[in-house]
Order: sequence, then C-alpha cells, then structure tokens
Amino acid sequence: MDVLQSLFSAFALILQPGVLMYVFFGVLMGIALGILPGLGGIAGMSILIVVLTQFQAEPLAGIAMAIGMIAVVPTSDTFASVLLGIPGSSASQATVLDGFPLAKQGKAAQALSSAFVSSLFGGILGVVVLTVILAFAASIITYIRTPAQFMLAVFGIALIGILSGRSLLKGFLAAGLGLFVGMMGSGSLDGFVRFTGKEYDWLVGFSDWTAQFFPHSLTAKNPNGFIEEWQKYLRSGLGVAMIGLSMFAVPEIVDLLRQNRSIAGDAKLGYGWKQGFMDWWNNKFISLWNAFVGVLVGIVPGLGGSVVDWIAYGQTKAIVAARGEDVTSFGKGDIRGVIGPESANNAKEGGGLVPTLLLGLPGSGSMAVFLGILSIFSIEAGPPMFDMIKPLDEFNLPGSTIVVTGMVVTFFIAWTLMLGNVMGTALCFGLSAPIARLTKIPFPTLAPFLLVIIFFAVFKVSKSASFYSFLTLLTLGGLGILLRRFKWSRPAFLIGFVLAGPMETKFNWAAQRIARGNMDPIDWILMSIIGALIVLVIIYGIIVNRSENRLHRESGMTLSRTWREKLPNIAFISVVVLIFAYMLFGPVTWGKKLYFFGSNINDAQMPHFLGLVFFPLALLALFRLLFNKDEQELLEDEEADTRNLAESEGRRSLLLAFGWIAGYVVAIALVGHLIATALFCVTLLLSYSPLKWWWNLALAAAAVALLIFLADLVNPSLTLGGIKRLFGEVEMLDPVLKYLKKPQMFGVP
Amino acid sequence: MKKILMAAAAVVSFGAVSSTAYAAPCDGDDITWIIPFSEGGGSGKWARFWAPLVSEQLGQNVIVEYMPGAGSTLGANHFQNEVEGDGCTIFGSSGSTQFPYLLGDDRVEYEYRDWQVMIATPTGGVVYTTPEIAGAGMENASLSYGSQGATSLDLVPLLAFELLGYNVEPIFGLKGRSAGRAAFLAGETTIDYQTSSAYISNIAPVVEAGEAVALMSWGAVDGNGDIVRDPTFPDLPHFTEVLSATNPAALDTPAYAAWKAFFTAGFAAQKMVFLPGDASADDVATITAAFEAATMVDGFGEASAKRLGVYPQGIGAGAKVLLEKALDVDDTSLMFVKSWLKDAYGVEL
Repeated sequence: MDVLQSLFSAFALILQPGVLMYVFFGVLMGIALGILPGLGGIAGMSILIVVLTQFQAEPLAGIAMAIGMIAVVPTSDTFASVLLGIPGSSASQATVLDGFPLAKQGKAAQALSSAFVSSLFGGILGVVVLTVILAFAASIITYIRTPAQFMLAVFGIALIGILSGRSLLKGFLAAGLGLFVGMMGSGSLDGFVRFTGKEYDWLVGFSDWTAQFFPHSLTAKNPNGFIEEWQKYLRSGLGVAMIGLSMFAVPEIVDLLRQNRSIAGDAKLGYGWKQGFMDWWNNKFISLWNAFVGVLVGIVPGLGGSVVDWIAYGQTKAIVAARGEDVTSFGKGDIRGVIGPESANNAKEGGGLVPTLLLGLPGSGSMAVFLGILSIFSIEAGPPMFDMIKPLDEFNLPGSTIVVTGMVVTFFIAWTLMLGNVMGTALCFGLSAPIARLTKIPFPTLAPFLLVIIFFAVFKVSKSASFYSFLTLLTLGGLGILLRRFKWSRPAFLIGFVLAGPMETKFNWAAQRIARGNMDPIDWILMSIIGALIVLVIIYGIIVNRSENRLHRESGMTLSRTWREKLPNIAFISVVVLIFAYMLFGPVTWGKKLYFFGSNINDAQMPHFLGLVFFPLALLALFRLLFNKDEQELLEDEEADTRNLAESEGRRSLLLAFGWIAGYVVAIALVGHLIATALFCVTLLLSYSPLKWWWNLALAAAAVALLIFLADLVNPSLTLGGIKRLFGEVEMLDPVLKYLKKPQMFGVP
Repeated sequence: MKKILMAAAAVVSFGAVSSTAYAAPCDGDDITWIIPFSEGGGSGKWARFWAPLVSEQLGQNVIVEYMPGAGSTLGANHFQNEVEGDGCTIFGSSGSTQFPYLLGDDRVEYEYRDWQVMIATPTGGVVYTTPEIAGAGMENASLSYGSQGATSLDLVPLLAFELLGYNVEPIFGLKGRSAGRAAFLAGETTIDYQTSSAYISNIAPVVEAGEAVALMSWGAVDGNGDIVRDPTFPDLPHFTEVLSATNPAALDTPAYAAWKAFFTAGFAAQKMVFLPGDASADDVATITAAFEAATMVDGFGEASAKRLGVYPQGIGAGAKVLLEKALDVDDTSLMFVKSWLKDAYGVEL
C-alpha cells in the first residue's frame, strides 16, 4: 500500500454510514461543550475517554467522535463570545472584542455567520496542510527512533516551558509538576513505586490512627487507614482523563460557582446572515492569511490554543493598517476582527495534529488528551501511525473490507477533521436559534449536572473504581485552582503529565543502548541535533523573555505587593519546592544508585534526573520571589489583582466555592455516592440557583436520576453504602437496592 | 454501541443458559475481566477473543479491563488484595505473572494457590528476525531484543538465545510484548518473539510480506512432558530441534533442563482465568460452564485456530492439571535460573 492508496482508503472509510454517525455524535457533544459554560474541549475529551472505554467502542468510532469534538469546539464557542461577551473557550477570547459589540448593535447573526464561514475555511485549510505534511513525512519518519524520540520529548517540555506564558520559570515548573504526577506509581524497570509517600512510616502510622474513626473502612477487603488505601490507589498511576478533569473542569466550575451575577443581555440573534457571508468573501485574504497563521501556531508545540486568537487579531489589524485603512473601528464591532481570529482558531487544530501524530508531541491540552484516546486503542503516535504494511485488524469496521493500516488511520483522522468542520458549521448555522437560547441558562442551575457527570467519569475512569478517585480529583483539582490563581500554565502541566511516561521509557531505552555502546550512529546524530536545538531554543527563549519583560516593566504596568499580599505566592511556591525536594531527595530516588548511562538502570533514574533539573528551578523561583525587588511574574495572583475591581463585586470566596466540592467528597465518604449526590444537588440548587424552589427540587431529582441512569448504563459499583447505613436492613428497600446494585461498596457490611 | 449488540445477543441466547440451576454471577451485572497487560499484547487478544463468546453464554457482559504495570504483578496484586469474590471480577494471568511468583520476586503479593482456576490455555511462541540477519547466519550477528525484564516470561527467550550461542543485547523496561514487537517493526531491535495469538495477527503478515523471517517456535509439551513441534506452526522447527542440530551437547546441561522446566511452567498453561479464593462454588461452576459451552458453539474451533492457534483448552478439572504443571518447577532448575539471572543481569532475587 502506498501513501495515495492509504489516503483513498481513509476517504472510503469516512463515507461508511457508521463513521458519519460517530462524527455527528462527536460534533453534537462538541457543540454542547462550546456553548455551555464550565466544560471545554479538554474536559469533554476526558469524559469521552470514559465513554469509549466503558462501551468498548470500535477504535475508528472512538477516533471519529474525538475528532468531531475537536473540530467543532472552536466553531461553537463563538456563540458565547458573540452573544454574551464571554469567551466560549480560550481560543475565542479575541472574538469577543468585535463580536460582542456587533451583537449589541443587533448584528449578532452577521458576526456569527462570518465567524462560521471563517471557521469552516480555516478548518479545511488546516486539514489540507496537515494532509500534505503527513504524506511527505511518511518516508522520513522511520529515522526518528527511540533515542531521538526521547530527545524530542525533552524538546517538547522545553518549548512548552518557554512558550506557555510570560515567566519561563513558571512554565517549566508547571510542566515539571505534570511530570511529577505522571511518574507517580509503579515504574516499568524494577517496578518500584514512586511518589505515593508509602516509604514514610509516620504517614502509614497516621493512616492507621485515622482508621479508628472509620468503623467501616472505605474499602471492604483491607481495613487499613485511608492514606494507605489511597497510596494503593495511586500505585497504578493516574490516567489522562483524571488530569484533564481536575485541571480543566474543577477550576472552571469553582470559578463559575463564585460568580454571583446573572448573565446580562438577552442574546438576540438579530439579522445579517447573508451579509456575514459576504463580509467573509470580501475579506478572504485576511481569512486565508490568518488560517495559515493558525496552522503555524498549531504546529509549534506549546503555543496552543489560548494565544492563537490574539495573534490572529493582531495580524488582522496589521493587514488592515498596511492597506492604509482605518483601524479605529476595531473593538467597536468591526467584522474583520471576527473573521481573523475565527479563521485561525479552527485552522490550529489541523496544525496541532502535525506534531501530535508525527512525533507524539502534543502542542495543546486537547491534543494531549487526544494522545490518551489513541493510546486506549493501543496505537502510538510516531512511526506506527505511518506504517503501510501491517493491517490493524482491530481497526476494521464491521462489514467493511477496507484494509486499515497505521497510515490509513492517520489519514482517517485528517478526513474526519474535515468532515467534523463541515458538519459543525452546518449544525451551528442550522441550530443557531435554539443554541442562542441555551446560552442563557444560568450556571448554578447547570452545575449539579456537570458535577454529577465529572464525578461519575473520574469514578469510572480509574483502574480501580473507588472512593480514592474522588479524593484524587479533589486534590488535583485544588492544585488546578492554584495554578489558575497564580497564572501557571495548566496546559503545560497536562502536557508534562502526558509526556512523562514516553519520556521515561525512551530514556531507559537509550541509556541501556548507550551504556553498552550499541547505539546507532544515526541515533547519535539525531540526538545531538535535537539536543543542540533544545539549547538554542532555551537560550533564545531566555533572551526574548528578558527583553519582553523589560518592555513590560518600562510600560509601567508593574505589580507591587506588600509582604502580606505576597504570602499566598510564597506559600504556594514553597509547596512546589517541597514537591521537587521530595522528587530529588525522597527515599525513592536519593537512596538509589545513579547510573545515568548504565546498563542496570532502575526506576529511580528518571525521577532523580528530573529532580536535579526542577528542584534548583523551584528554589530559584522561591529566592526570586523573596529577594528580587523587580520580580513581577511570580507575583501574579488573580485574587489580589481582582480584589478591588468592580466586576468582582459580590464574588464569593474561593474557599467557599472549593468547599462545595470538598463537601460533596466528604459526603460521599460518609453516606455513599447516591445519597451524597442527592443532598449536594438539593443544597447547591436551593442556595445558588435563581429558579423557584420547586423547580430546583425537580432539577436536583433530575440530576440524581442522571446519576442512576449513567450508573445503570455502564454498571459501575454505584456507591450506595449510605442507604443501608441510614435505614439498616429494610426489606422493602431490597428490590430498590438490587436495582441500584452493589450495596456493599464503602465497607458497609 | 457494541454493548447494545452484545446485550441483544445475550437476550437471544438467554434461554439456553437460564436452565442452569445457579444464580448469575455478580447478580447478572457486567463481569470485569482484568488483564494485567496493555491492550496490544497476546493476553489482550486472547481475552478479547473469549469475552464476547463467554458473554453470550452467560447472558451478561464480560468487559476486559487492562491494568498493565510492573511486569503484570501490579494487576495480579490488585486482584489478590482488592478484588472480592462476588463474581464480578475475574483475572487473566499469563506466564509473565507466573515467573515472578515462581522466582520469589519481592513485588509479588499474590498467591496462585489462593485462587480458583477455571480455564487454562496453553500457547506457544515464535522467534523471528530480519531477513538480512537470517540470510547472513545467526551465529555471527550482533542482535538486540526489547524485553519487559529478565524475570518476566522473557526468561525463556533469553535463556534460549544463550543456549543457542546468539549474541543478544536485551533492552529492558518495555511495557509488554507489544512494545517489543513495535521496536522490532521500527527497526530498533533485530530479534523478537511473540506468543502465538499475537504472532498470527501481527507478525505473520509481515513475514508474508518478506519483511521478517520466522526462525523457530518454542514447541509444545506433549502428554509425556516431551517437547514436540507446535501444532499451530507445524512447518517451523522448534527450539529444541534447532539446538540439537547446532549444539547437541547443550541438551544435557542444567541450563537446558532449566529452560525446559520454565518453558513448561510458562507456556503449558500460559494463560489462565481465575476467580478469587472466596468466590462461591456456584460462580466458579457457572463461569467455567460458560467457557466450556463457548467451545461447543459451531465454528469455535476454526475461529480459535485462526486467532489463538491450535491448542487444547484446559477447562475445569483440565485447568487444574495445567495449573499444577505451571506451578511445578524443580529446585535445581530454580536455583540454576536464580544464579544465572544474577550473573547475566545482576538481578538479585
């Protein structure tokens, strides 16, 4: 099979009715994620992982759904940006600048129509570029073997550290924290367990001490204290869905729970559908240029979603200025300010797939989760995706005779991205009226449903479905909230997490080959080239970063904080220092012999090596924060920045909002998942939802019904402990319990 | 989606099962089948072959869950320590799970004799290399082999390579045989082996395309405990044949005796399905019966030969016999292997 044949085979595959349906499913889910607040593409894909594993979906069906979702989020997020002036996702922030004013002028339809056409155009251009690059890469990809792949993973971390924000230190440390969490659990060489704290006897002692307060241990078989049980849970490592949800769903939901305002505006669509299309046609050059910009931004690992729209917005203004036209209309409802970013933000997905599929380097958070989806179907990015010999029997569609190889899967991804863009645009046009109404749903009304779905998903995604998945979600969600608060890059964390595994196995491989002097010369050459690139990129990054920060300081927009105001920052960075100190000096790593390039290396090598890099960086951050008078980036703190702003008036406290989620977890521990969910939904809705009380009770009932429905659908060990604990052995309840299954969870005898 | 189809199939076949006197295991809920490896390896293929067949017989879903890590001891420890005998969870072990147990690896917290075996499937394996190396002769080649670790099932190939006098560099730390296969296909290693089911579906097409050459099978153990040609690959010489042709004296060494003992332990009952020790006898009987009934369905022999290879399944009492074989390694061989692991790879057990 050659490249062209693979391309055609893949095209034949997407015409199968089953595939069309799955893309359609994905697109529908993506539209929902784009318009509803709280969950974005990353959280959506994390939930999709659960759906795919629970239903044992066919590989191509799963990929089709994921790509359909990726394709449409940058299109559907435009609704919120234009109609409400709130970015529907991070890639649509710039669209607000001109889209919202247009909506206020009654021309929402015009803005949406231009945006959708631009999105479609950019999306398709992205696919075309992706396809061309993939076709040409097929012949050279085989040279990039394990040692070079290890260097590429390091390169990816370096780029992400540099490109993820104004502070290099924060970027690197965020990625480092992701690596730390990614290495948690049992290693693959000698299998010892890293970073669960199980080597500390006092922790185990504390755990045993707590056991006396839980007469029924949280898991029935081994009645240890909860910390010991939690450590066991962590031993098998965490999945990407858990990270996606704790980093990108919990912080957003907590943020929305804090808001105490109803959404302004009445989200009228107005007029101008046809005009919008004409506007795009008249600005096709702007659209084309920005689509290319979007592809390029997508290709560079690390730049990712949140800057592409701003770059495109800047480019659009520059083009208009270069033509000698007036730019003062920008920000007041200039349609070109919508066309530019929207052409770019769909195009970046095609670009983003290039390093993801080719090198296994995800450029953005959603690409990182997409890699996780590929791995549940046991296909690895890189050379296996360009294989044209070996038929992948498990990828065959039922009833189809098309032979599927790695290359066909790769082109299938490109084709479905195209299909997803077309379907997504058509649906956004077709359903614009009902979607516009949906954007008006107040968030607190929605919150119980989102939380039910998220909690359910993390429960099921864990290798051992247990209460500890909730504790882990709560802990990592708390970390996500802090990263958000202090403006550390959460995508960098997620990408670090995803790269940890491949980076370590590839390092172990290369180290063993080097130790025995058996590495191919070509691997040496490639490793050196990439190594040199890494050094150059870091040096360049530091230089650019310094000059940017100098400009920023000179512009006078500086932060100055009292010691008291600095305390949260100091506390947070101190914890980061402790984490990396544990990574470097903990008994798991420090006690083990170091063989950096030895043949009998062990599972402590990579953590040790990373500790040597990140511990000094964390210390440096702490010292700069404490002693550097000019320090700016490390001082960033959303709470302090917004404390005195008018718009944050009436905002609930962070701790209170987080407390809701923590309370839910504690309630689950005490009375079981089902009762806790009922209590939580009722209390939350009655406290925050603006609706009448009977409506809120009905909604709470609906949320509980949703949980039972989901549980029944995928048959989890629904945690009903509480019913029995509260009511004892009531025979009348037996049929109910039998239906709701597994009352013995949570240690109820 | 698949689940709905399976449920439909289950409803259709339910009449056949409902006549048994036992209650459905796990109250008729989905049964989770833990496989302590990643999806792509031989165990995954084996479990995915069986799961729908058994689902159909039981009238309830059997869902395969992968739990790779630490050379399969992670999943096995989980099964030993966390899983309850409510019939909701079954475990699929493999030779890689057996070896650390036999060798007294300190990661092992599980005890085979605590568990209740339901079926045992023998399997074989095929060694293959690149056409260039096969053409130039194995003795002179400098070979590399991607391995999970010397105490895993890879002990069998590593010891075999040593007996044959091949110069093989093992690279440890891979997550399953599928990673070893991927490394070979990417041209990063030059010799590899796959268990029968993974060989049939993944490597046979590559061999057919002329990109790889099959060297030998491991053979199979007959009723007398002798090694004969693998019935799935009758045209391939087996390891013992190759060894006796090149170095007949080696057949009398303790190294060969140890190889044979561990090969028998690892491959004669390479894949087994267990319920926890505290599972009810009814559940054991019901699930065992479902496996047995699945083998009676028309077309089973053909389908299993195509996907798993031609091996007689040990079910119920037959499985117990195979399990005993798998746990029976003589002390001499055990001592030999332990000292060999220490000398060759610095592994202290």
